[in-house]
Amino acid sequence: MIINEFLQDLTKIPNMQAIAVYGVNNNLLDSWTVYDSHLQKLNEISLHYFQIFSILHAKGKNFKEVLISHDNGQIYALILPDLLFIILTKLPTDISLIRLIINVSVSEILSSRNVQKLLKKTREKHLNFFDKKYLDESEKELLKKIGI
Amino acid sequence: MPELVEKIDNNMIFMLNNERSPEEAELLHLEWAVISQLDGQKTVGQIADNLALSQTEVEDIFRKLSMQNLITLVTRGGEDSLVSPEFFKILSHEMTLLLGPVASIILDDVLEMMHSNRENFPIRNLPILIELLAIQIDDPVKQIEFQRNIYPRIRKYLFK
Repeated sequence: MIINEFLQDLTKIPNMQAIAVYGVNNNLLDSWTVYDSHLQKLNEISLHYFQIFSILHAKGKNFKEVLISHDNGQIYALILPDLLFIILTKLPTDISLIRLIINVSVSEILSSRNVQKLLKKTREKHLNFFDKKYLDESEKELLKKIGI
Repeated sequence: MPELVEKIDNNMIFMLNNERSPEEAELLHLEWAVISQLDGQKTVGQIADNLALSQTEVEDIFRKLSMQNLITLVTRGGEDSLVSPEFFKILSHEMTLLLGPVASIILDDVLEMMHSNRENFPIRNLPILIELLAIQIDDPVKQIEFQRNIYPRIRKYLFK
């Protein structure tokens, strides 16, 4: 709903592969993928991103953006006060265009009544990605080592 | 199979062909240097400038890399991919509303920093131009206001 209504231009960027929009409590609000088969991959990557952000947050380092190369593409995450975007693209893609489209759309997204309802509905459900069910043994060990 | 490009133009942009590694070919030092510059964003002309290559050298290297299927053409460039000088009048006006009379000077400074000008500005660089200009505005609310006002104008270039 959010992507179709407010972020259509993101889906028109050449080489765009997948977009996920999350609310403040790490709940998925909307997603879009070129191929349905990418949805699972998007969810897995998003989980890893949340874990990275949670570690950075726990260590007092609050990043607003992260860009990582991945196979023949890149994964870009943008954290705003009320929303988090995780975007997968093939190369080449202009990150400044992605950032611009999100910047010009975000106030409209947040003032939409439907989005406000959706945010309210998911507000009480906070997903903690340090929960053991999301971690394998090596991740648990690593978190112990870095004191989280 | 990537398109074989025989006539190399300075406005063209190439990227590495994902299906063939440059390590499979025997490349000279300068050819490796060109390969290392390929990012799907820089033009042939910019790469020639960065590596201080002559026109003949850069054309020969790109032609060879294309014939060996090591690179893929992203865009040919040319006049179709340039922003109309009229756009800069609108952009300058939008900036003047927020920054006052220095707006035009700031715009030209940023264009110069990007090694470009109002008459010869590639469409593909519009998003980064808007971002660099927005940074010049101190107030974050006005930054977004500027981006929102100018986005419909650049949108018609980017998604035509």
